Amino acid sequence: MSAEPILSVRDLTKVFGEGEAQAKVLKGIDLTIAPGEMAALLGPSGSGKSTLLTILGTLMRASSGRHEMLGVDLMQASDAERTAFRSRHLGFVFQFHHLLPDLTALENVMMPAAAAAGRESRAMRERAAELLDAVGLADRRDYRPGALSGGQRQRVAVARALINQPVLVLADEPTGNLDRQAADQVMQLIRSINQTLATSFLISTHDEHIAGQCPRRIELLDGRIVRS
Amino acid sequence: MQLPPPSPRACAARLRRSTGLKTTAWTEDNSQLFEGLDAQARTGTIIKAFALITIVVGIASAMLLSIVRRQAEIGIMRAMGASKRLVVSIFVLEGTLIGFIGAVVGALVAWLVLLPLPPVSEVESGGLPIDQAQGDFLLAIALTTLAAALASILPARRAARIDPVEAIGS
Repeated sequence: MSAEPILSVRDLTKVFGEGEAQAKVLKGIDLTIAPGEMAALLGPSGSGKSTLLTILGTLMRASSGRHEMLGVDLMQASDAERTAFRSRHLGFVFQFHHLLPDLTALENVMMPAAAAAGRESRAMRERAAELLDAVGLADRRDYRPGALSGGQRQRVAVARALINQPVLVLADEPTGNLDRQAADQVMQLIRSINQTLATSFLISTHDEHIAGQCPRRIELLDGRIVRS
Repeated sequence: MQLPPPSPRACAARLRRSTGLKTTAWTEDNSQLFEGLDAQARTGTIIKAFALITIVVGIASAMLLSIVRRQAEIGIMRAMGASKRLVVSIFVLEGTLIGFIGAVVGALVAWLVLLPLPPVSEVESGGLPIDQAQGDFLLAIALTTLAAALASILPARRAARIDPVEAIGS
């Protein structure tokens, strides 16, 4: 028997604008993600990949449909409940790392945990140091993002995504801004985390080489899933 | 317990009752001088009120500028799970600290400027009747800090309303 999915969306739609300027970006998405699954979300520019990830990440509400994760109805949840849920169960990796420039690598990794608790703690610092060690940046913990290479910044971003031990990490073109070697290092890291921690990953990409490293591929075209 | 001194009119009335002499309060005999002193005191209050308004406007505009400049960072924090309440707390705390540090530095500078001036009781005619004893430094620091905290609330609430998706995109 297959495991209960951690994420389930049904007939999800997203409409931007009103009247004649209305644009339907997602047109009835059905999708489930199982625990420990690693899936690539493929599709050309404008197919709705980023919008879907943004909705799944509770950063934006869908216009209609069902959106449940870990048994929580995220369509009905309040903004505060969605923020708390995001903090507790979801991790993010963006294309442009989005590290805070004034914080060190260690402080950046700690930030989501400190934001969730409203304060720092020694345990958070130790966990952040362990994660930086796991992504091969133990000797860069006191460096600010400006002093790191693109690949190193993205590895810090992966460590940051894991600090709250999320069940699902949503990665929007995580290697889109990296050269092939750095991209492969980041993907190797993601695969290793997926296998050792059983963290699920949904990775949006338009790079077949990256998608080929994921056991499952989900193809999106014009706001609809055409292959899953 | 120290009682407040009676008013000049009350003093004059009491003397009149007890001695039967014709008495007038000094504030009536020197009404122009009294009005001048009164106007000076009112001007001082107005200057202090404007100083507080300047602090409120200055802190609020500095905070708004800081929030616009750090919009992407606030968006990242919100995306990473920072609650609106946390964002408000961070910016109110920041504004309060700016106000407190500014007030302490300002009070210190004022104290140093007043250092060479003699006490008011020893000021000769034509001298400047101000000294450190009239400074109310602690009250000034407390009021400035309070004004800065209040001035930070609206900008902080605006920061908390930043949409993480738009902010990260910017």
